[in-house]
Amino acid sequence: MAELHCFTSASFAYLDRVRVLAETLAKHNPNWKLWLCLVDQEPPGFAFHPEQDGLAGVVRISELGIPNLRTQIFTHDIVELCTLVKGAMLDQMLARGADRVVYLDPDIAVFDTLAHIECLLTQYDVVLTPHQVEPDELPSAIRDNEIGSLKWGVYNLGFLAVAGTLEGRRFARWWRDRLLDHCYDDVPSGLFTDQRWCDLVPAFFDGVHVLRDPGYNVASWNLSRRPITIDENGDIKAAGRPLRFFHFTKVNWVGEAMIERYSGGRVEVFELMHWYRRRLMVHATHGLPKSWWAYGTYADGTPIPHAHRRLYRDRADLREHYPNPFTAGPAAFLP
Amino acid sequence: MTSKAECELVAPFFDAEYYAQSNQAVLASGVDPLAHFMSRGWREGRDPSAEFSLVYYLRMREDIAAAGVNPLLHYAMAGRAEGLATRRGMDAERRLIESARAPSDRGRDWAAGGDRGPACDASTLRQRLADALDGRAGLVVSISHDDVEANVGGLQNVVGEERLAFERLGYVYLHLSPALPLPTLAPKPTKHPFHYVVRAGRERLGLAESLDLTAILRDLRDSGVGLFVIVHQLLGNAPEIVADIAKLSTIPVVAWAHDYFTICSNFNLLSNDVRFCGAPPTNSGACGICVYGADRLAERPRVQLFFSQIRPRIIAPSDVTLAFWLAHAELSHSGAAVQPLARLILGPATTHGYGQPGRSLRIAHLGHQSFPKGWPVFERLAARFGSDPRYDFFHLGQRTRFTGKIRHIPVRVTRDAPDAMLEKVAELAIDVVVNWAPWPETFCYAAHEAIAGGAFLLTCRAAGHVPRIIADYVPEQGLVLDNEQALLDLFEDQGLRAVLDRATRRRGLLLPQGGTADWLVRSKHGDSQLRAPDFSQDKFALEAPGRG
Repeated sequence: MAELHCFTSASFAYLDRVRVLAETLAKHNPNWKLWLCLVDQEPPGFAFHPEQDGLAGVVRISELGIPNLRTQIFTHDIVELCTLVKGAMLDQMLARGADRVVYLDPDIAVFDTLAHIECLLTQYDVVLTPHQVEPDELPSAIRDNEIGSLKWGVYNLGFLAVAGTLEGRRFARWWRDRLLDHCYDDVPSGLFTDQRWCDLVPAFFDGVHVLRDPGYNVASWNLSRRPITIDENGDIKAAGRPLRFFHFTKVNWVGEAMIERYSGGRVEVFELMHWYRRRLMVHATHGLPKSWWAYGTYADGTPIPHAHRRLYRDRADLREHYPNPFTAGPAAFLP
Repeated sequence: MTSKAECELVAPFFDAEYYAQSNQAVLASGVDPLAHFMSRGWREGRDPSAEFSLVYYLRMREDIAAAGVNPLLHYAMAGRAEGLATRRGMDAERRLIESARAPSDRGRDWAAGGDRGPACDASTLRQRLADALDGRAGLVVSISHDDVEANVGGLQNVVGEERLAFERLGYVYLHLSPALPLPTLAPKPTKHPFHYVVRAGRERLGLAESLDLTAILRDLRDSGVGLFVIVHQLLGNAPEIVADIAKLSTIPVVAWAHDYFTICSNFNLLSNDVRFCGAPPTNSGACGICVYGADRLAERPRVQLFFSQIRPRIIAPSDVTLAFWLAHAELSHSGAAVQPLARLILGPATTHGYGQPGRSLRIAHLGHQSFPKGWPVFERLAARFGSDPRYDFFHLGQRTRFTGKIRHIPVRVTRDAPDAMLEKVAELAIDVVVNWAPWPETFCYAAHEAIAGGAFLLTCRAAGHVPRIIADYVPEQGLVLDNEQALLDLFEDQGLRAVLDRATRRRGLLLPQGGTADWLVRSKHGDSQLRAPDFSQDKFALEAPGRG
């Protein structure tokens, strides 16, 4: 089978998740080469060995040709920045000749072959997975899921597949440009990072396929309609279809509470969740300072509050006066 | 200060006995548990009942946590009306999943245990065996996972009964168990010696190095002593060593399927300790997410090799078990049979029906408070109906955890008191025993004891052998339900009373059987109860293991 290039985007805090993604992807799709778009820098003394983590390679944020990079980094929090780079990375991979590119969030684990995606990319330019593929019925589920999609986006951008066609590249360029300017978590303004933008994709581009198979991108936000079961052959199913990949968003009690709400009284989804936790422990990142993110603090180690990022983003005069906002000390932006 | 009104508000949701039991160390004598909870216990995270988790409640309502309000008081005043949950759903099952560990991982904790005494000198062992065999018909070599004289359990009972039966027939019964018990197979034999605890009859001969033991048994066999090797359990053993011993058997080896260990190191086939998996392929997605999956994959070739080399006769303790093993084990064998561990002998129907006038129906769980025995389902049943005047809930057995609204009755079944459980069921006039094993039990003593004690047996379709007990022995003294909801529904309305009114109460005896010895006798005489068509050409003779 021909190689397919796949990438994820993360800081070192999610390296354990990246490793689980790499491990499960390699098991079921050995012809997929996983690249990491790294939105971070190593802390002193930390040794990073991408090849040992099952990665085909690493592309650092500084290698994506993002204009005004320092300002971009400062004006985005970790989630915003990790999503901002997705457009630029996709665009660059296609520009460098990849004929098919798939994005997978680092907190995804693959459970079965994704060969069907490869087939779809021979027919379509862009493949998206909606958060939900059928209506909910319970009022609480409508509130959590359907209204959630209206707020945060119809499609979950934990997954995206794009062909290196003209239309695929036109999409990638458009998405890259929008994210460079408007990749914020600002739901009241109609923005939610990279995700809300893709609500426009079926209207803007030809060759868009909405993948409605319930086995793809299963997560707490669609579990109400996709019960996890395991049949007598040991095949894991979502809504009766083979589970392709599960999106383990928020592996904490908040995420588990959502899963509990929609587990339908079945234990299988909890087995799945705890399997994932065990794999994270196996792949735990050692030697990383707690809460490490190279861009999370001023030069003197003071954490950067979200309000500072917002202020710097909104004020052209501050950006002009303090070209390096990370600087600490008397002449620094640090308020 | 807590007001009297506040105490009255929360009192219906506070379990004083639970609180007192759970906080013995901090509750000074004479202190009122509710007063302690209201004044400081809730701040210290001490749950007011088994049904109310403070941590869970506060996680679900961060506003209450931020406001520093007593969660139980909030529940009584508002949360209950809002329908807030007080404990996470499927808590028992989720705790099991969270605490599940691979046997190879658990085995590391076991490494410090075991019998590390010096091995018996080979010549001494040889002489003692020769002495024991003097004038005897032959030697039975029985292998299992632990020292049957030092441990209590169903398998140990059977081995004990089997030893007695063989001894009555004139054989010496040699029992071998690993000196270091393990929840897995023992590592492959290397230059490190493997030691067995060796017993001849009940007498402990000591530790023996496996190579010495194999050599002694080989010499005995070569000198004309009949050897019959019975493998009760591969757990804790190195199958390569067991195979070396089994090859010395002068008649076909018997391997028992007391559980499903030859299929998976989770011998109940409970995925992550919580869900019956049905033994899917080792490379399945299910095995991939199960803590037992990697061990199963690693151990499977060693078990397969043992069975292909030895091709033993399989004996299962129930037909349900045998059918499952034959369908799923995919291991070489040369025949298969069923040999129950005990037989139920029932008396005539009594005139005493269920539900004695003037008292509640007595509902009981027998034995271990464990998930494979269906304890969480019984606990949920009791939590829901514990305050219902129609029912009283009992636990008969050894208590390992607080039972709340369930009255605990200590019962200990021992070799000297094998009928202690069924006698207690009868003595207490238990009306109903709920036996809710979530996996196909291979042979359930508790279900037999329930019926022999005169109780009505409620079980689920998944419990394998247990529904068959009802079908085979007492169709009018038991009921098989589809799922837990059907059980709750039965208790909710008048359904249970109606079922009991139609039922017949009989009492009985539980006759222990002689394990492999009993099977051999039945095999020889072609007992019609033996479901072993493969043995129609059997050339076994009871005399076969004898000298010459």
